[in-house]
Amino acid sequence: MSSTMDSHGHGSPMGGPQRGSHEEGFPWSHVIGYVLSLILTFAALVIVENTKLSGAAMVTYILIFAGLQVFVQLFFFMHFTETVGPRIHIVSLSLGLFFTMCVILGSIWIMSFSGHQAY
Amino acid sequence: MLRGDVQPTPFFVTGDPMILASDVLIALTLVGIVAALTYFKKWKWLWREWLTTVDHKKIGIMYLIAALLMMFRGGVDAELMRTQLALPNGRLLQPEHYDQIFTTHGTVMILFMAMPFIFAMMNIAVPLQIGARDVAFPYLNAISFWMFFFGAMLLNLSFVIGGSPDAGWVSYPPLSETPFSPGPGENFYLLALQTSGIGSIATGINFLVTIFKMRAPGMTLMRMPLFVWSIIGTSVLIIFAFPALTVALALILFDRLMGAHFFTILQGGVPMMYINLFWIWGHPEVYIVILPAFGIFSEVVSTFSKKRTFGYSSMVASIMAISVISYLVWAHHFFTMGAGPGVNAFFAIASMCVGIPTGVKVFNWLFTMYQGRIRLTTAMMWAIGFIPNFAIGGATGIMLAAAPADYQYHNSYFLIAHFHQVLIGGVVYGMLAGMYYWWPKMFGFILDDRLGKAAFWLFNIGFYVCFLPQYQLGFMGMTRRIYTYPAGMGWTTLNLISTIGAYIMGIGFVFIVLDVLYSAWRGERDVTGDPWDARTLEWSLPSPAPHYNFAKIPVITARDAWWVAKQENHGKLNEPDEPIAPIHMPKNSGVPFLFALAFFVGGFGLVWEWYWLAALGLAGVLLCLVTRSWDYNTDYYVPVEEIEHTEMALRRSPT
Repeated sequence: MSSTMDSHGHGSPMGGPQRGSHEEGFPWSHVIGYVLSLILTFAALVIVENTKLSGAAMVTYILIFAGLQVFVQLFFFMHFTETVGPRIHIVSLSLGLFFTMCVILGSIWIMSFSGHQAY
Repeated sequence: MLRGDVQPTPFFVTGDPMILASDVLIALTLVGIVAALTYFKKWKWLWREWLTTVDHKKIGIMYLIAALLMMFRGGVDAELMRTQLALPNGRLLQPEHYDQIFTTHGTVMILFMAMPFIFAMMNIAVPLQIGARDVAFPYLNAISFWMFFFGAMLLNLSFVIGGSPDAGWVSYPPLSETPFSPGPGENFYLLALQTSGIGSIATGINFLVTIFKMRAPGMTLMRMPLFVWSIIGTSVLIIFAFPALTVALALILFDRLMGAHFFTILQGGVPMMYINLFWIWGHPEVYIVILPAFGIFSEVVSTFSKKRTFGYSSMVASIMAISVISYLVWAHHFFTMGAGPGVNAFFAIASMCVGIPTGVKVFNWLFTMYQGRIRLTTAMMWAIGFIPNFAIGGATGIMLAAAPADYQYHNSYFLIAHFHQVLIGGVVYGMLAGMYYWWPKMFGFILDDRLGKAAFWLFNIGFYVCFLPQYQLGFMGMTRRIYTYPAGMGWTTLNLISTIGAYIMGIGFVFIVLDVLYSAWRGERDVTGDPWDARTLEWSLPSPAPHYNFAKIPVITARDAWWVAKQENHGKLNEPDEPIAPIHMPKNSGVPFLFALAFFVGGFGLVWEWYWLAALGLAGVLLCLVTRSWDYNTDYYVPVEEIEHTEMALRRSPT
């Protein structure tokens, strides 16, 4: 867990158990996050399986669930609120957001086949 | 329907005399290894020094050995294919056997040769170049290696047990779905890639954190060696691209094992979505393997020209630009799918744009060499040989990127020649340059230059003889993945030339192996730690470096810190003026090995749909996780006396 530190005090990115900054005890926030992410996942499945929405409405709902899922992951698992990080955090988050948007919007664009899809 | 009424697959592959011969050879090799380890009483040594190590240098060496072995395996596949295609109506391989061989050739070469080769270079060089004592998460690093290793073993096992996958290295549905590919072969592909993919993602995270958090004091981002910058690019791409592959493979696995229909059209699935997901990973993957090669070329060209790299900031900007743009080009792998002119035009232009930063880098290397004092060592030969290769590969890449023209080139031998030109000419040349360059740092001896150059020339000439005819074969209508062709197509001469080239490349590889063996026996020992009169921090250490790397972490004041120290400070780095302190280091652990072994067992169970075995594997995985979570005895301090003793033995004053 702990990394190889040097005597200058920098260089331990994880801290390790001995530094345990936030809550000891039972990790409730992780459990809540896990349950929430499961609910959001199954909600998408229910929308597809058990409702008779139009394709566009279905995609909209799924995108909303996906957006909420991102926040669940960031806040419950990725220590988003823990510290005020250096500038690099903003850079990496923006980059992640950019790549995600490229993948999602690009995929929707490609897979709609200019409206000529045969299915 | 089709091959639906399947007979149960035999456990061992039988029938083909070539595979039977390999069975015998594999069995004999295994017996030989076990006998040798037992005879020389090396089992304990193997476990203590290698299987349980968390030292980045040793993990790098293991990656390197695995990569060279896989290069041999993928190379034998290639030679078999070229032999089959040398003359019309070839009868060496059955059609199914040919399909299996091109599938495993591609899979092995990309995922089990190129990937471990870049991981080898990262592990060996990055912590030393930034003045760190290990990576940020050494234990995770060991997990990464063993996940890769057991993933690779799972795929290679398919060759003698159950049958190899044969749906191409891209494994497109519907071909890769159960009705068309019954039996365990395809499952081997899916689970092998999933297993090693976990390791790859972990490596990406590990090295990104290492580079951001573990640099020596004073080493600002813009003072880092360019190889380290290239690893930032690669790590970012790994982190964002690999999940797409994980998802694509998982969905096919659901289809095959659990009766889902993500990619079966009859039940409303969309096979094209797999192609889309695969290349969302697949194209960044190309840059994942090429960026470290670019980084190595920067190090090698600068060292052997005795000049600092020309245009450092533009090199950094190019690496970052390539990392971002490479995310916007994936659809150029399926222009012919028919996503419409808007999509094709966007992705064609983006694909051409990625050539711009690459061009900047090529010019920077040329300007670095310009008026430099060039030494033509073997590493430098590979770096120089890369440039014409990449110029041709880049030009043909632009031709392929032109969407309307791509309808002609698509899946022809023109494409085959293009991507071999960039992947061999770029990645393999880069990795071999890096191997020759860092070999003394890894093993303490220098690879022989004459044998190395002979290998280079054989490989380089063989490369052009092999692949230039394939461009023309593509124009003449020869498509990829055909197992034979009739006489009278006009393809015979070019195919024969291409095969001769492949044999010359094979001889080149044999010369590399000879070079390693000869140099281990008679090669020049590296007693200075700086055999190339190089510029970056790793060369300030003895070869091989002590397990804690730096007795004192140096304070960095400039780019090319070791060169500056040699020029201005009599070869002494700025070290803090205080006595040596105990060094905090991670302890070895056998858990990563067992953890990955459990994944292997579970994966093997899923391949055969033996769910009891899969459950057993999963239980092993959980057990390892739990064991580690409650293990607080994970690190220790190297005492000062031991450090001083080691440093004295290495003939460095431990003041």
